[in-house]
Amino acid sequence: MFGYVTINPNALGEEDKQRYQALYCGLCRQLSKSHGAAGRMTLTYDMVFLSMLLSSLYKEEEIKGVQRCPMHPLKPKPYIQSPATEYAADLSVVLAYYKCMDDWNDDHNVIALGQSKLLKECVKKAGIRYPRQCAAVASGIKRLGEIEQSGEINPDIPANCFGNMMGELFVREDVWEPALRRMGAALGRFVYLMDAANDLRDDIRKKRYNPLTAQTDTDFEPMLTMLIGECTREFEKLPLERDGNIMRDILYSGVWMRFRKKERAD
Amino acid sequence: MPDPYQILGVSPSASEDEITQAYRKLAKKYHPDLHPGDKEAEKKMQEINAAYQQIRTQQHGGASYEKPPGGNPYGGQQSGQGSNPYGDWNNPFGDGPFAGGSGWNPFDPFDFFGGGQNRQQQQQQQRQQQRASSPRMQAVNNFIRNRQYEQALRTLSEMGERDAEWYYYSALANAGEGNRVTALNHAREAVRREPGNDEYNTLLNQFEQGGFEYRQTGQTYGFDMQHAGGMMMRLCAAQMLCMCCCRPF
Repeated sequence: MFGYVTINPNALGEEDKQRYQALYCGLCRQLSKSHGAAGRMTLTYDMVFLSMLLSSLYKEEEIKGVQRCPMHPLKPKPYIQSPATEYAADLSVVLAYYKCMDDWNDDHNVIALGQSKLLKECVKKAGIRYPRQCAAVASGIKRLGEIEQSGEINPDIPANCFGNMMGELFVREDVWEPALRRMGAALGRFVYLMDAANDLRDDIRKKRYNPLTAQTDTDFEPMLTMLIGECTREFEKLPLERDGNIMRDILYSGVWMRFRKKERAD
Repeated sequence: MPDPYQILGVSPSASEDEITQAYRKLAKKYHPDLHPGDKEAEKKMQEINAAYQQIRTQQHGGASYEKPPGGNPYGGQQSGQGSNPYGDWNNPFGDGPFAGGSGWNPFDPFDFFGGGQNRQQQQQQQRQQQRASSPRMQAVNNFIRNRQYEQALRTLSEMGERDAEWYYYSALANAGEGNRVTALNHAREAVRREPGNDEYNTLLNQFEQGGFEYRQTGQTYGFDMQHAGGMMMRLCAAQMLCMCCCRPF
């Protein structure tokens, strides 16, 4: 995703903030453990959210610790991990890898090619553990690339493509699947179009593809609110065990931070 | 329908937490993954799902969930089907323990206002009685009623004149297809062209309902969408001031 799914620290209590930080560190550590330094580079807020959501829903057991790491060599940092952290770490590298491949194919971005080479082995490992998700990301990003290449002016087409892919990553095959899938897909659509709204000016100036180019009304907030509303409606139905505060802070406030920032900047 | 509380083995006065715990326990016991091929366990699981959903919708949505969940509650086996990428929400009722939630999907053209079935049925009847202005529009109306959204869209795209009615039906068909942004835009356009039309206003409200609920729930939890920006604005202002200080002009 794009790093939009993050907390608004101003609306969060100190304890929750620390817990979020520890979950973030937990995912970073896991990335490094599962996939090395190249894996660590793929850390995103979005995947921290996914790990938090799944861990909370499935009431997973947590491992807590305090350790130094290359990112914070001086001060030991607390971290929290659970099985969902491992899952999110694997998905992080898979998403980053296919994104890089896509960037290389589109713009012949050499850095992206280099990164994708570094991630190749990681993705193989993750692919063995989660073939369904890997296939969904591979085909989803490929399809999204084709849609963007074709200059599709209907924003629903790429947004649904991205959303369906995200929906696939949120689910395990069990009773929560439909709700999680809808929630993930709605979040995906929201994030994709929010990113498009944020980039619209730059993209027009630089003559790049943007799915919102053809929109006559450029006040995107009602549309985005409608989209995120679908996500929270599913979210509110899930019986979550913990971190409800943090996740609500993210979904009701944090997801808007970069949008607002951009809005003020324009 | 049997008493959902009895199925979950809790008293009607049980707290939300207790109900969820009871559901979790039973779900673990009867989860079909643990009893492959066991029809009895599968049936039991469906009962538990239905009971849990009924209680939750009563608590959260106020509406009673009268429609038994059809389809397969463990949609995993369905996930690979690629025939309709938006399949998930063409049918908001059928596919799982939480499908439809409070019995409502704002993008289902027949599913209005999250109210109970009765209201929905009323709306549906109204819509069925409604007459389209031309035989072609009537055909579109029929396609939509039969949930053949693709055909509805195709017929619409072949029509030259785009008036308020066209935008209205296009909004309905796009909603059915999962094209939310287009559906919203076209509902707005229909209202813009014919502000006095109740039907068009109702549809637009329906799409916007999710956003209202979102803001409301957010506010209940003490979040303000604008606030995220408020802080940001102050930050930006501070940054801009700094820029002024540091710059030589």
